[in-house]
Amino acid sequence: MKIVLNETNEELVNKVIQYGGENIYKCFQCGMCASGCPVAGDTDHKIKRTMHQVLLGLDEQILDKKAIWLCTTCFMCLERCPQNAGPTEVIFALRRISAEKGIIPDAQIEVANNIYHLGHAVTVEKGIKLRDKVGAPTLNTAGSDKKYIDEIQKIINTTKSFKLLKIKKDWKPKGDEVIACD
Amino acid sequence: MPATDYALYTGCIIPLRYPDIENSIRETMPLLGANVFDIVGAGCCPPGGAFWSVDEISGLVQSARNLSIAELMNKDLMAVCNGCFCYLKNSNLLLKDNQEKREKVNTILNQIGRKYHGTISVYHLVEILHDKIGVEKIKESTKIKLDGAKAAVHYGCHLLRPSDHLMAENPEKPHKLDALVEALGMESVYYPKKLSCCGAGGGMRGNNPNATLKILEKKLMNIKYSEPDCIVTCCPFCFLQFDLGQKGLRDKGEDFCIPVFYYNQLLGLSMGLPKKRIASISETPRDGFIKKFYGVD
Repeated sequence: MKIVLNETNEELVNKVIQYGGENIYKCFQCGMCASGCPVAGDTDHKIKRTMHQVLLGLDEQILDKKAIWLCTTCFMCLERCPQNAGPTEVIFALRRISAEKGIIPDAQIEVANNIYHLGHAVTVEKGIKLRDKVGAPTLNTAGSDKKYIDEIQKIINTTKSFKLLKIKKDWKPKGDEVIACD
Repeated sequence: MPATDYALYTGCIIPLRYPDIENSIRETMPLLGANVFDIVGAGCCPPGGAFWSVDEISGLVQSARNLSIAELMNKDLMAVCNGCFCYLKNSNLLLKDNQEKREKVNTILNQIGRKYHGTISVYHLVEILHDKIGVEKIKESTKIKLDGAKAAVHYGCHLLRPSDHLMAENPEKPHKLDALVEALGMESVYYPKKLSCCGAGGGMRGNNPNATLKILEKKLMNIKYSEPDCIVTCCPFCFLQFDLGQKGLRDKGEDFCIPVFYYNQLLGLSMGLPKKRIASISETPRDGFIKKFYGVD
C-alpha cells in the first residue's frame, strides 16, 4: 500500500532547498538540534519537529503558527547536527517563504523600518543624548547624516526586502526600546 | 609589538545605547598598540533577524556597503559586537568566494557610487586582544589587579557559531575571553550551559518578551550557581539582555542583580581610566563591584 502523506510535500521541501536549506534531506530526526536549543523548553518553536514537518510538507502547521520567528538564531543546532542538515538554515529558508506569504512579525517590521529611516536598528536621538552624557565623540555613523541614510534607502529600495519587511515611507519609530539587533 | 591600525565598526547598540562601552574600546585599544579609526557613514550590519531572514541579497548588500567603506580605509575591520562580527564576516567570506553574488551586490552598490572589492578581513575584538595583542601585553598594561574577583564569562552565540565560517574560537570549548578575563587577575568560574544563548537574538526580545526573560532566567540560574561577582561579555546585545533583562526580572519580583561588564570596561578600569567615561550606563547597578575591587566611587 502506498501512503501519500500530503500533496504539497515536495513543494515545500523544494522551496526550502531553493531558499538556503539545501541539506534538509540529510535530517534523520536524531533530536540533537532540539537538545541544545535555548527556546525549545519555553516556546512553541520545536526545531526537530519543524525539520520533520518540512519533510512531510506540512506548510500550514509551520507558517501559520509563527513559531519559526522565535528562533534566536544562536546556531547551536547547526553547529551540533551530526548530519550537517543545517537546521538554522532551514529556519531562515522558512522565514523567507513565510515573508513572501506576507506573514512576518511586528518586531522584524519595526527593526527594518528603523534601519531604513534611521540607518540603525535602534533610535538615534536617545543615543546622541547618552553620548553627550559620557563624553563620547560626535556620532559619525549612518545615523548622523541624511546622505548616508539616503544611500541605505536606495540600496534597500532595489531589493525584495522593501516589500517583504513592509517598509513604509511615512513611518515613526514606536519607541526607544531595543527590540532586536542580531 | 608594532602598532596596528583597524577600522572600528561600532554597529548600533554600542554607539546609541552604551556609548560608555565605545569609549572603553576607543581608549583601551590604542594603549595596547591597536589604533582604531572610524568607518564614517557605517550603517547597521544588518541583523540576521530581519533582512537576512527575508532575503539573502538584502542582507548581503548592506553588509557589503559597510565593508566597502572600510576597504577605502585600507584597514582590517574590528567588530565589537557578536552579531556584527557574524554577519559581516559571513558576508565578506561569501562575497569573496562567490562571483555571482559579488556581481549582483556590486550592481546595486554602483547606484550609490560604492564597490565591494574583497580586500580586507573582519576580526572580532576578542580575536585582536587575544591573538594579536596577547594576554602578556594586557597583564603588563594593567595597574590594578582584580585578585579574588570571580567572573562568569558569557561568550555569546555569534562569536562562536557557525564555527566553520567564523573560525574565531573552539565552538564547544572556547577559551579566549576566559584568558583575557584572567589576565586582569580575576578567576573565570565554571557554570553549567556556559555556551547557551542569552535569549535576545533573532527578533526574540521583541517578538516574545516573556519567553526572552524565561530563557535569560535559566541562564542566570546557572550563572548564580557559581556565585560570581560579575558577568563579563564581549557582545553589546548580550550585555543589554543581561543588564535590562535582570531589571525586567527584578520588576517581576525576582532576585537577580549581578553586575554586568563588557570586557573593555573592566580592562579600562584596570588601566586606571575614569568610570564616568567608560562604565557609567547600566540599569543593573555596578557601583558596588567597582568600589569593592577598584576602590573608586
